[in-house]
Amino acid sequence: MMKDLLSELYFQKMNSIFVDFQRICLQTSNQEILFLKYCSISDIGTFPQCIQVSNKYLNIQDGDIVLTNDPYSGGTNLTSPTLIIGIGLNNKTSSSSPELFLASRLSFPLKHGVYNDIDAEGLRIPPSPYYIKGILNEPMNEALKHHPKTPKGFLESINKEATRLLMLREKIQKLSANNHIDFGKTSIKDYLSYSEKSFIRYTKEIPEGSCVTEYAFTSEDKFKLKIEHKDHFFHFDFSGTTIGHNFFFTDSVTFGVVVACILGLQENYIPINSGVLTHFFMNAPRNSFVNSSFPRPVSLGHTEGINFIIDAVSRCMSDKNPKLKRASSGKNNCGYEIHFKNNLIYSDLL
Amino acid sequence: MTWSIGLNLGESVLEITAKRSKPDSTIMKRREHNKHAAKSNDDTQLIHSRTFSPASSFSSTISQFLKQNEITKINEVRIVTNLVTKIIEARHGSPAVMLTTIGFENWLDLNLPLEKDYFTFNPKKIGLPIAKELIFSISERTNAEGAIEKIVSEEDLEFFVTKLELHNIKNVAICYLHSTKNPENEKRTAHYLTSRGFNVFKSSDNIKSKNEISRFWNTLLAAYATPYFIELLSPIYSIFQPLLSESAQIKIGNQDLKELIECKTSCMATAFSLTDFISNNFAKSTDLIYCGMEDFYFFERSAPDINAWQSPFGEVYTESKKFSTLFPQPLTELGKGFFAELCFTQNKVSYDSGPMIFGRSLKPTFFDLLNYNESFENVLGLNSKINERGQKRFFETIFALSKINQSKTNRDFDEIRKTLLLIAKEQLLSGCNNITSLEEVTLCGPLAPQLRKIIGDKVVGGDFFVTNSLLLSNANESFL
Repeated sequence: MMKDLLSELYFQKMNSIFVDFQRICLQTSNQEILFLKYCSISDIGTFPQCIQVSNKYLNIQDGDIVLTNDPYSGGTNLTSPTLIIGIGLNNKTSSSSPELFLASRLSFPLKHGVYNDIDAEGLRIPPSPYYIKGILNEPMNEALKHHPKTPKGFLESINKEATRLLMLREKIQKLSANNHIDFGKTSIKDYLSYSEKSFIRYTKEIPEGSCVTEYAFTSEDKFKLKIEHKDHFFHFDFSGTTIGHNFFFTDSVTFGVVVACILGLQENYIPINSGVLTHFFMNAPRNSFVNSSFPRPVSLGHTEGINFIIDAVSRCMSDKNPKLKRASSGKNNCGYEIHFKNNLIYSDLL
Repeated sequence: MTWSIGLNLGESVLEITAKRSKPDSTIMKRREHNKHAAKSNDDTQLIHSRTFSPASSFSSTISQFLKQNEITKINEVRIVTNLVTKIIEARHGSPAVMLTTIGFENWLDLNLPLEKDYFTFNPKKIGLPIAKELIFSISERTNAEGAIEKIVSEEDLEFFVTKLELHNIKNVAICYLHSTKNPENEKRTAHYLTSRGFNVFKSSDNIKSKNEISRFWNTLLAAYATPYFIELLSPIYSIFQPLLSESAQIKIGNQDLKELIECKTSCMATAFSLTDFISNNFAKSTDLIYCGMEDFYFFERSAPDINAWQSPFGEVYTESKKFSTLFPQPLTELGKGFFAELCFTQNKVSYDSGPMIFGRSLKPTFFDLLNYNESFENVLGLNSKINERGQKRFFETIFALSKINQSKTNRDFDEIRKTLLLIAKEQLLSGCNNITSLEEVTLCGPLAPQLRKIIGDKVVGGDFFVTNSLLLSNANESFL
């Protein structure tokens, strides 16, 4: 009877816990996304992958913090590092897996340019243990400190964020112990199930059927996209999309953008969690520019290029819904940065 | 017999406290017998009134109040208000013109925020408070060092005035680049326009501002809000003025009301008089939530001074104390959300129609929920407004929106109500930054007893906490 209100309450509890964070994702040990807050829509697809990849290779424990900015490990750009912390809720032995993983992402000024490969874009950090059971990994910290490509202010910001995450971990543990919020399997299942039901109600407003588009946004690069909406599920098929010459995207960024496009059809905010995300599927051929492989440079694609994916989705869906027609985004390869005396930096694309 | 008057002017709620400055002989005798009863003796000399009506009819309410209580001589009127911010947020201001440095006509428009802070296929910017055609530019330039590179010419000003006269608008915001470094061009322009009968607002008056855009916004919004602000305050001034003793003043915050009405002071200087008063006097050593009839505000202890207000249009230069506007507010509507048909929306009602339990509105609000938390019998003027028909309508609406098909029992209603209040608690908590425990927060204001059931524990002050405190010689926490 009260599941709708209880789901709203559950969401508001999490909203309140994470109110001070701009880009954050909470995931369970069963890979269920409970809460996701984004600044860039590329966060939607990349946050889950970042947590999964990091945990797969490093087996994150309670109090461990992993640092990565690698787009091929679920990052977005090299200037947006992600920190992932393990949060154990019950007083188990230290070797037990934590019940929750929390990822927070920072934003540094973007380095504009056209690069030949990912490593030319800046310092790439694959998932690396930055804190081990709450203690700073000094060798790694020293390595970053002395690396020639480490941006100015990077370490200070990372350490500050890590401290915030450790405090947040304690807060979540305390709230869970006080039964303020229940992260048990049943509560999570109920919440995600109700989120799914609520999302299905919204999808009824979107006409069912399929639509196809081919969209050449440069003389060499072409999207081929088929979108199918059936039984409240959305399938995005990029088969036929070319290999790419200037713009490259990882599959997780592409996925996040197409999800955001569907959610963006609604006037109201739709909370992002697994209950919603399980209704999206994507097929992006390997080595097409929407599913690029290492060491393709992705900074241009993951910033300006996102607009082209949105254009492709908009063109496709406007067949069924003419209101979605919009002018295509302009193409350019030009950006600039102005550094002021007071250490402020202004950057923009022309 | 002279009186002191304290007023809290809201958008649709007026609170008045009148205090006799010289106690009568009966009370003096009682005081001699009981030295500890000073407070209660003060209380017996206090007369209160609360009205729910549009701000435009406050003057008649005040007039009636003075007449009923035979108040014929006043030595002090102190007013606090957030009327200016309400006028701006509700877009009730009047058309004004902005004159700026050539090339910067679109600057404010370019920096307007989006309506929604999440991705949507149809992003829309917040609209300007004035039509874009009312933003003019003139050839003048002061450089970043304060040297004038191009002085404003009379010819250009004359041409500008002819355009102004076509629009029939009297209020002009002058916003020249770098004018705080050297206000000469703004002064020349102001002098010229004033001599032609225009009301002028200069951005260089905000001398401490270091941010050009927020300074421009302050000036433009002052020009925008002033006409309606004066329209509301002038009649109030006219009512008090004949009753004032020789040295008496009417102040809004620290500003003289007469100077405000004569446009010698910007109305933006009063925008935060209410919150500054509360913060300066009561939030020095405690985190505080003010539970007003129209607004819930959070004040962290020893809040710093800030110089930017996050208005709907972006940052606006201000000099005030930091505070947070909480959500939900008392008159926040309940409506459809993602999970449920019942959640707190971004819409608000006013006391014109009022919450549903007043019997006139069809929109359920947070206020209606609070009614079931704790009776409003201690809030002057409220109980008489709540009627059975309204309460029944709220009861039915809750069940209709929660889609409960079984028989509507009080128990079911209670369960829904409690869950909604828990949701409100979480959202209120989000607005109280850095609070580790809500039990540490002190509540004050007329709706504090109702909110205490949700957050916080300690309630201080009474129903007319703000207006009573205005009339103390040293309004401080000892009063609490």
